[in-house]
Amino acid sequence: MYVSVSFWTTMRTIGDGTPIFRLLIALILVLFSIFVTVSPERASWSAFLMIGIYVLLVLGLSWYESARRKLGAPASLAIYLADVAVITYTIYSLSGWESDLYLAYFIVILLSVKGANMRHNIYVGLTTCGIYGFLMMRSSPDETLLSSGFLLRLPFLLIISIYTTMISARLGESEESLRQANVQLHEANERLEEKVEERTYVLQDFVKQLRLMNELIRSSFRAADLEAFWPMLSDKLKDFLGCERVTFFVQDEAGNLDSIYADGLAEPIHLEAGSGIAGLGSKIKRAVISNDPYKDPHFHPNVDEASGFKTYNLMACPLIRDEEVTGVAEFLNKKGGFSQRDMAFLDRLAPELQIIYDKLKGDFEREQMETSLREADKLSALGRLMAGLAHEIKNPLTGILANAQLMMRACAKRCGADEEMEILEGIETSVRHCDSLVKGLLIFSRKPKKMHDPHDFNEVVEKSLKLFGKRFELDKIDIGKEYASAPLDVRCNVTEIQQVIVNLLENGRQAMNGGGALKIKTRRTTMRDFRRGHPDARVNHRNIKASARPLAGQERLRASGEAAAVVLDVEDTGPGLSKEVLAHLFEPFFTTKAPGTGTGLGLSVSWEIVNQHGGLLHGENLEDGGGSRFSLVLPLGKSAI
Amino acid sequence: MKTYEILVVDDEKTIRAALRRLFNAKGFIVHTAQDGADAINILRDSRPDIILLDLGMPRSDGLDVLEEVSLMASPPPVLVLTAYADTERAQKARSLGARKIMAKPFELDEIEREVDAAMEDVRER
Repeated sequence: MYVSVSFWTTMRTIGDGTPIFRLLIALILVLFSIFVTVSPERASWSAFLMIGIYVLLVLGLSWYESARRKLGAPASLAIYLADVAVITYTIYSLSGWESDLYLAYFIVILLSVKGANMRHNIYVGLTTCGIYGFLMMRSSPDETLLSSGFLLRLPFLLIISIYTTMISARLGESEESLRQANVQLHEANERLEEKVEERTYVLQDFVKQLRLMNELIRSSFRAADLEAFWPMLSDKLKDFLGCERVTFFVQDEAGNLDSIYADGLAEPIHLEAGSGIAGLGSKIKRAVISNDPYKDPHFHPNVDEASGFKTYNLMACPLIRDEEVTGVAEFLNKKGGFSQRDMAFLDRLAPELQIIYDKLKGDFEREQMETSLREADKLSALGRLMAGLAHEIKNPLTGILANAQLMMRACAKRCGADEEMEILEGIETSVRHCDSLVKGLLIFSRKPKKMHDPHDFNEVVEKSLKLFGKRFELDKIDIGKEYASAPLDVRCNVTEIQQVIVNLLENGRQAMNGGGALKIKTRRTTMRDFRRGHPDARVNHRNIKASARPLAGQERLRASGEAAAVVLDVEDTGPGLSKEVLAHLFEPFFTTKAPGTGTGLGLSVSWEIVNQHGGLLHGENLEDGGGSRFSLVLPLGKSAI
Repeated sequence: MKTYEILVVDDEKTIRAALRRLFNAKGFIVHTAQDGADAINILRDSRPDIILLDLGMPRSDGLDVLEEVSLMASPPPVLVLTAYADTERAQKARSLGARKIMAKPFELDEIEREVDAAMEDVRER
């Protein structure tokens, strides 16, 4: 009996085992109890009945065991009391009131109880002591209670109850803190895993980015020119991001965006400052994603409308140098849309792209500069050769002219023959023609003068016109004049500029064989404005070579970009200029005149003169057809600005 | 009437010959030199009343001759005849006392005019 009770309570202390495990333990207990109880000297039917009741209790209570802590104090107390009652009755029915089994049983039950807290356990201890005291009083007369020392067992029971309470509380605390530590460990582990995953993504992105950069750098070095950079970059980024199209914009000072490379588009795209998704990206200096552009108020659907392309999603990433936006890269149509990861990636990549582009641009510009300097050296040597030759030719010309003129004098004195005189005059004319050619050639090789005297430009034009006398009237050409208000001071070599103007007027006159109208107009502008309106009006590179400082002409122009300037427009009503003539207009020895009537040096010398004055000479056909316009542009001196 | 002497310095033979012809006809005694060194030698023996001087010549050039002339007591007028009339060398010739810089090729009338004007001044001295 004692053994079966011990096992019962032991089983109660097992606590948290699974129901199957507890059922197995219970069956072993039952078999063992039967074996003990059914020994010949203690066999009784009531014992079998009790064992049956235990089995039922074990089964029933064991199912509730796990929920016992959650039952609360009253339910726990009820279970405890039922427990005590059943066992007490069993012991009583087997051994009577005097049985010592009660003490052993109560000690076991105290050890097995796990109260919600210390107070509960003390209550259980006191109750158990009370029940045991009552049982002892029932079983013994008063004298034996004291003489046999039964009462001494009560404090012992109480000490055990307090002791077990403390142990159990301590165990509970450790268990709780262990449980909490476990939970914390678990949470920390989860957080760590998340972080590792996140970092892995970032690292993977970095590795990809490095690979891409490596490819870009290698491809850039192989790029034949700067124009090849954008399509190459576009292809690499399309592969990398998995998108359909890429557009690169450059930003001007006002913040307007113009496409420098628009993948698959025939027409370039222009976006006003701050407009479009690209404009937004440029404004906030960060990459912007629009995964539903047609619902985005910043989106400009007219680009799609014009090209027939449908944008499903897009991302715009500004290109930044020294915190200034220089342009925007726009990516279109990625399957599944653009992610924050793409955006972070491009924000990291953009400065690197700018560095590659700047390096590439610098390299190409340096190369171009070197080429043009080499070219300049060659042409400079040619210029010196030409100048030397021109001077050398002047000596024999002098000899020819002097001798011819001596002969003319002798002729006039001695015979006065008209025919000989005519021949000698022919020699004289040819020498003078030859001299004018040589003078023209020398213009190309001389150093430009640093400073000239100021002259009123309108007056210079008027004087040049007067040199023609009644020539225009005789040729039935009407002259229309329109002069800008004075003062228009230009610092120039007045003889040379007059030569240029006469040349322009003479060309106009010759273009209108049979009459017409020549319009002469002076107006104010700036060098930059004129060049914007006439992008083909280039600086004559020949000037670069003759000058002591390399690129002086271009530097001067760059420096004087905003400088005020005056333009002389000479418009004729002639047949206009053919494509071929336009292409070779200012080349030396190019002429449209019949052989023997023009040197082909007029316009090229004029251009050289104008160029040496820091100005521009430009020829074009009139917009409305019929006739051409030649424009002479000269920077204005200080007094006129 | 005094016969005036003229020195023509030029490395181009035809120019020397033409000028000799021109000024002989006008009654000058004409000396010719084919370069600067030659001219300086002539200047040691004779004293021309006027000099027509080319600038670019082999051996010593026209500028050397001008320097030599500037050292003379009451130097004769020098008319420079040069193909390099618009260069720094011509500027230098002017600063060394050249009366006139004339660009080659010149007209005979023009040179006669300039020589006559210079001779007027010489006579007045």
